[in-house]
Amino acid sequence: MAIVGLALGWNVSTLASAQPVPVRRQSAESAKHSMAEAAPAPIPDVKALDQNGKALHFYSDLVRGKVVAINFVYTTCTTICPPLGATFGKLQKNLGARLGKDVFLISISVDPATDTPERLRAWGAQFGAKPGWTLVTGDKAELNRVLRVFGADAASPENHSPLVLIVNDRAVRWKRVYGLGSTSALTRSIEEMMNASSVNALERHQ
Amino acid sequence: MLLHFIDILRRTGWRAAAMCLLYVLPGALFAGPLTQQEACGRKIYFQGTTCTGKEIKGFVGDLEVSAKLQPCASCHGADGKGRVESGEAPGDITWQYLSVAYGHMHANGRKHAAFTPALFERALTTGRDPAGGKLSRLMPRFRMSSASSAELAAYLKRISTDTDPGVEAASITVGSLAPLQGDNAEAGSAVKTVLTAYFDDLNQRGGIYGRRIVLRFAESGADSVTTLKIAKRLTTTPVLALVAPFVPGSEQKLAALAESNHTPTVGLLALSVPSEPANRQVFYLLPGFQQLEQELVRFAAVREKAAMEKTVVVIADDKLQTDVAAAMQATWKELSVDKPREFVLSKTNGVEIVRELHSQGIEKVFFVGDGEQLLPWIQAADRAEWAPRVFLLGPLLDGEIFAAPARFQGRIFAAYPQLQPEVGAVDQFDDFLQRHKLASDHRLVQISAYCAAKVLEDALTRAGKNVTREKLILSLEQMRDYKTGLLPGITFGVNRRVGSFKAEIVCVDLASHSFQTECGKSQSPE
Repeated sequence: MAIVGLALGWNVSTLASAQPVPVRRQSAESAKHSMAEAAPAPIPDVKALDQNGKALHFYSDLVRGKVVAINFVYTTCTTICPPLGATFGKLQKNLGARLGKDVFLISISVDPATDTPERLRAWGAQFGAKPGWTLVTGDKAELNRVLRVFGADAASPENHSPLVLIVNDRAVRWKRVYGLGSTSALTRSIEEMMNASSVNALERHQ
Repeated sequence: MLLHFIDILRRTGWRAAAMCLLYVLPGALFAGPLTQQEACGRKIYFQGTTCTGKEIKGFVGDLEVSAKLQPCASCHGADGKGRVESGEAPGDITWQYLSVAYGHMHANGRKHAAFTPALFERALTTGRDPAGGKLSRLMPRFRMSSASSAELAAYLKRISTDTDPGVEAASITVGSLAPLQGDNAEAGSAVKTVLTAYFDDLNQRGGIYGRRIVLRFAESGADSVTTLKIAKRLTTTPVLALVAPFVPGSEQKLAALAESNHTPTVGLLALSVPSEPANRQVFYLLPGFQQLEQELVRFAAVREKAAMEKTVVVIADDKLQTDVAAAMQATWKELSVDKPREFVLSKTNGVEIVRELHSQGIEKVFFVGDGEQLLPWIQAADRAEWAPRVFLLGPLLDGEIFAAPARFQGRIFAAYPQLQPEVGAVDQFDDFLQRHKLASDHRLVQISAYCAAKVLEDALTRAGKNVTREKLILSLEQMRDYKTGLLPGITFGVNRRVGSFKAEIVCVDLASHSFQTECGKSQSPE
């Protein structure tokens, strides 16, 4: 498990301390085994910029009270980021009119020093990014605070996490799903989270 | 044969023999131009489209992907050797490796025999290896024809010996163009002669990693359309990059051409330089109008601190205004001041504008136009006994500015790209001109071409022996404060394509007919 964690660029100690139940890496076949968990920590309300250069606060503007699906990309990445972007592009289609209303997509840059709003805008445009899909950059130290809470901070951008984190803020629930698996399974996971209610104990789906 | 060879070694010395090997071995790595099939395979590999321009698509699980957005090269590398990212390891797909006789044993235990062209096609389209095992989920299952698959295989046989255009065993070819006739003939000729002389010197010193630099120079046309045609032809011959092209009036079109042909362009001489790097291929050394106008705004605001209601913009040149408007707007915003009012100057309303601005007590005028457009207007202002401070773009001025009325002594300011000559370097440059019998004319153009060649040399050196266009760009992007000795330190970056933003604001000294950092006061009454 630790090896898988390292390979995915996770901070293993974050895993150990933040959650009582280990999160398993997703594959298309085992999407059924995804686990919802209570949010491990409050999401920092750091200053950030979106792909149009608009200044915002990450938590209060993008997450509070919403259901969001978050992935981690950078524009000079050429291996897993194109499929991550294409997956979000497909999700946009699958979510249809619900995008921007009931559910939102967020891509956080793990290389904010290079990724200016213009670069993010051009990158998102390749996959048809529409309103409702926000691409975020900003100060590296500030964004790292958010990444750390999500367990997605890594020593270098090349080791960034291929996960999608689904957050239902009102229900205070998180779910991690492999970002490169079946898009229909990912859509189902998001829809489940949209219907999720607040829980005190952790659930485990069989 | 062998004995004969050893005899030669003995007689000419091992050193000479080693030199011969140096010529023979690299030659083996350069197997000549690609065949049509290999070239089509290369297009698929790097751009994800066939030779007919058809986009190749595939599936990653249930997700349709486009090879245009994720071509083979993006995961498997420009050299086909693969890399590791985020725990994924797209592998070595050079044909030498794919076809290795003893097959592959992968880290996850999957093993299979060598690929054949048919098994390769099957892998591409169904995601199965020669033993029927599944390839990584991330490898798309592509929809492509047998012909395309064969083209790709043909290229993968050549990928290890394929070099970028202009790169040969013993030479690197770079291109440039400039006018040799018409108004700009002298400046154009200066570019050609300085570049030729620079590379001659460089080749005398041994070139770069034993390769001499060949300059392919093309004379630009009489008009923009012809110039673009010539530039297009030049960029489709094997040149690795363009250096110091000088195409007055066609800079933006040339930049667009460089981008579409993926031709790095070092030191494009241009008066108008985009503030945001929209173009990955083109690198400018010096600031253009946009950046100079921004420096003028900052200078005026900081120095004078007067209210912005007493400041206006007078536009004499529409085209110029389109270029600089956005940059000026950004600077007003940066300084948190309101955008000043704008007045459009025509051939007939000069006096009227002077009267209106004078009556409003305007103190500062940003004049967007050249010296010829300014002079009659400033003379009208003088007749009305009004002398605001005037802020101009230096490169648009000629000697005519010194004919401005005496009332304007100490009141006209111009912004130029800052030069930063270091003592030894200036002597070296003058020496260089003398040695090659070049007149010291159009000095700024000469300096620009010379420094562009210097920057290119440094970037090529740091790019290493197996230089490609991509490596050249990455090498340029790593340039930090590189001192040419004649210009301020040149810095580029992933998001930065202008080497120096430094501007010098000078005052037009009408008494001495020169530009000064501080001007004497006006003699005539205010």
